[in-house]
Amino acid sequence: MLSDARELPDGAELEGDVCIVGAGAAGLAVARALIRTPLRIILLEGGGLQFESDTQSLYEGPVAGVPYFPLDTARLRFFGGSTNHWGGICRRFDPSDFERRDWIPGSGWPIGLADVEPYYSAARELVQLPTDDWDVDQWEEEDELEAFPRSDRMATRVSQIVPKSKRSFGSAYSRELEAAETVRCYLHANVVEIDTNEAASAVTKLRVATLTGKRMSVAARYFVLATGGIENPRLLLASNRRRPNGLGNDHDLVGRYFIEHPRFEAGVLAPARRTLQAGFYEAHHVEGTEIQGYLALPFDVQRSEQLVDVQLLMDPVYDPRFERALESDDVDSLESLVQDRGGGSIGDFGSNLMKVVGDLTTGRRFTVPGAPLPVPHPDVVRKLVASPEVVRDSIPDLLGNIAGFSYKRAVGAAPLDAITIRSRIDQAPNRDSRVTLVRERDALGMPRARLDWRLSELDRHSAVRTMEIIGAAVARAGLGRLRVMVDADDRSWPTDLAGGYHHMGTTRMSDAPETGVVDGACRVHGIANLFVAGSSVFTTGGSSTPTLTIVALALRLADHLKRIAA
Amino acid sequence: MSWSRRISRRRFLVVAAATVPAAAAALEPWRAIVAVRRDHSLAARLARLVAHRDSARVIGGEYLQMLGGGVDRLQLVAALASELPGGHRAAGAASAEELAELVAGRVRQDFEDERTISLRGWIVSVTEARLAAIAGTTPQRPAA
Repeated sequence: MLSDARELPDGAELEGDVCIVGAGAAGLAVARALIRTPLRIILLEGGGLQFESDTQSLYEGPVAGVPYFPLDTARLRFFGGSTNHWGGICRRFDPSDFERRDWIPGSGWPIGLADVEPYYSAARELVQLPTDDWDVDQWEEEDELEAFPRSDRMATRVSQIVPKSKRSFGSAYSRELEAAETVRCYLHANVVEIDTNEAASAVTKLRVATLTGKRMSVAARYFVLATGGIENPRLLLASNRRRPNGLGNDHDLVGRYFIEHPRFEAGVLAPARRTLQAGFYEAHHVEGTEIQGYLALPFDVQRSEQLVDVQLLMDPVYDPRFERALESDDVDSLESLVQDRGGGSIGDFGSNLMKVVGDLTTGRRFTVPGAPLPVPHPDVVRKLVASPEVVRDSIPDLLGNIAGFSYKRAVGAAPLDAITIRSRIDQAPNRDSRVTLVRERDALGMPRARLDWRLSELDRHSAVRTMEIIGAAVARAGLGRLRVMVDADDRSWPTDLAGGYHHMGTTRMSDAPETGVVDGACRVHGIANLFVAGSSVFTTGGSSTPTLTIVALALRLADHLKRIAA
Repeated sequence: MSWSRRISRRRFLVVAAATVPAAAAALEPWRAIVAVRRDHSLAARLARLVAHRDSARVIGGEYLQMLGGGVDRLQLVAALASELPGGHRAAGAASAEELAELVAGRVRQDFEDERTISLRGWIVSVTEARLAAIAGTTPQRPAA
C-alpha cells in the first residue's frame, strides 16, 4: 500500500513490526525482502514519487574541507532515492576490502566477504544486472576486445553496468510495494526525531513531520535507518532528547569517518601505437551486458607498497578528425586532417617522448637500424609470412601520413591519440572527516548537516604511487608511456578533485562501540532495536562503487530481522 | 749461446716485475685516449638508434636538467653501456641491430625493475632517458 502522509490526520499514531526510514536502494531492498513474511512493514519516505524542490531543499547544508558538491544535489529525496540518478556501475567487493590492513588505520570490517557473499546474487537480481559473472578472464573470452596483459604488478577488473532504463528502484518496485498487503509506504513522511526509552537502550517511536505542518508518530518493534550517509548520522545526532550527544554516539563516532571515492584526472597514457586496443576499458556490450574494465594494483602489491586501493578508469581519446573523415568521402578532409595533426592530449613533451620510444621499438621492428635508407627488417618479412595480421595492424604506424589514415579508414580502426586516466581512491578512514550539525534548521525544524570532507596523505600517496607502478607495467608490456599528472612533491590536490556521490562510513561497522557505531549485524551499539542500512555502515569503502554491496548488506539485514522478529 | 740464454729465469722475472708496471704506466694516457675514442664511437652509434634527434634533445635536455649539470655525454655512455648485458665490451662489438636489441632489452628490464624516473610526470626508464640525452647531445653527421 502506498499512501501520502499529508493525508493522514494530524497526530496520527502508526504502528508496525518493522519501520524502515528511507525508500532508496537500501530501504527498498529491506522492505522488498520482508514482503512475504507476516511482519507488518512501515516504509517512510520523505519525498513523493517525483522530484519536489521544497522536499529536496531539506538536504541543504554547508560544506567545509575538501570542496564538495552542494549537499542538496548529492542525493535525491523521493521514492527510489539516489537510484533515480545513479550511474548503474556495479562490482562486488573483494575479500581484501573487508580485511584489516595494518597500514590503513581504522580498516577491517567485523564481517568478511563470506558473510556478504550469499547475498550478492540476490542483490545483483535486485539491481537488475543480467549475470553473476565478475571474472575478467571469463569476460575476455566472450568479448571481442582484449584487456591489457595482466602481470604481477597490474590487474584488470570488470564492472557491470545496469541499463539506464532499469536503474531507478522507484520505477522498478513501486507497483510491487503498492500491491504488498503487509507493507504500508507513506510518502512525504519525514522523520525528525528518534525517541527512545529513558536509558536510550531501545527506540520507542519515531517522530514524523510533513511539510504541510502535520505531526505523527510511528511505533514498531524494530527500526531501520536507511536515509544515506549524511542523513543517517544527522538523525542520530539530532535525536538528543535522552543523550546530549545524540543516539549511538557515546564514543563520539556518529558522523565521523566520512569517506568518499575521491576521483580526479590522474594522468594520461600515450599509446605505443595508434592501433592499440583499449576498448575493453570503455563501457561496451558483451552478449547483452554492458561492462567496463579498469586497471588496479593486485592486492599483494597494495600490501607490499602499503597503499589503499586505487582504480584507474580509462577514457580512450580517438582522433575526432578521423571520426569526421570516416563519415566523409572527401579526400580533402583527409588531407587537412593529416596536415592538422597535433600532439593530441599527450602534449608536445609526450609526443617527443613517444618519438624517441618509437625509434627504439617501431623503427627497429620495421627497418634495419642505422641503414641510410629504410631497409625492411628481415623480421618484418618473416612476420608477414607467419602472421600477416600483426604486420597489417602496424602498417599505419609505419606509413604515418595520408596513406596511414587511408589504411585505417579501410580497416575501420580509429587511431588512438591518448588514454585519459582517472583515479578513484578507496579513501582511508579519517576521524576528522565528518558530518556534524549546525544551528541553522530546515523547514521541519531539524538542524542542518554540515559536511567537512578530509583526505589524508596516504590517499594522495596511494594515487601517485599506483600511477607510477602502472606506468612501469604498461611500458613493460609495450603498451605505451604514462604520465602522472599529480606532482608527488606537491601536497595539494588536483583542482578537478571530486567525490563520486558516495557517502560512506558515518555510522561505521565495528565489533566494539569504542570503534564503531553499528555492530556486525548493522545494529546500533547499545540500542536493542535500531538498525542502519546503507553505505554509512561501511568501515572502509573499497574502490568499487557501493550500490551492489549496499543492497547485499540490506538483504543480509532483512534476513537478520526475519530471524529475530519471528 | 745467445744472449738471452745467458739470462737466468730468475733474473728475467725480476726485470719483468720491475719494468711492466712502468711500461703500463707509460701507456696509461694512450689507453685513456683509446677508451675515450671508443666511447665517442659508442656514443655516436647509440645516438644513431634515435632518428628523432630533436625529440631526443627535448627529452634528454629535461633529464640532464634533472641531474643538475656536471654529467657529460661520455659518462652517460659509460653508465648506459655498463648496464647492458655483456657491458661495454658487448656494446662495442655489437652490430647496430644488436645494439638496438641490447638497449631495448635494458629498457624493458628497467620497467621490470621499476628503475624509472619522472620527466615532467612521464614515467621513463633510466636507460631511455640516458639514451635520449646521448642522442640529443651527439652531433649528427652532416648530410652527404
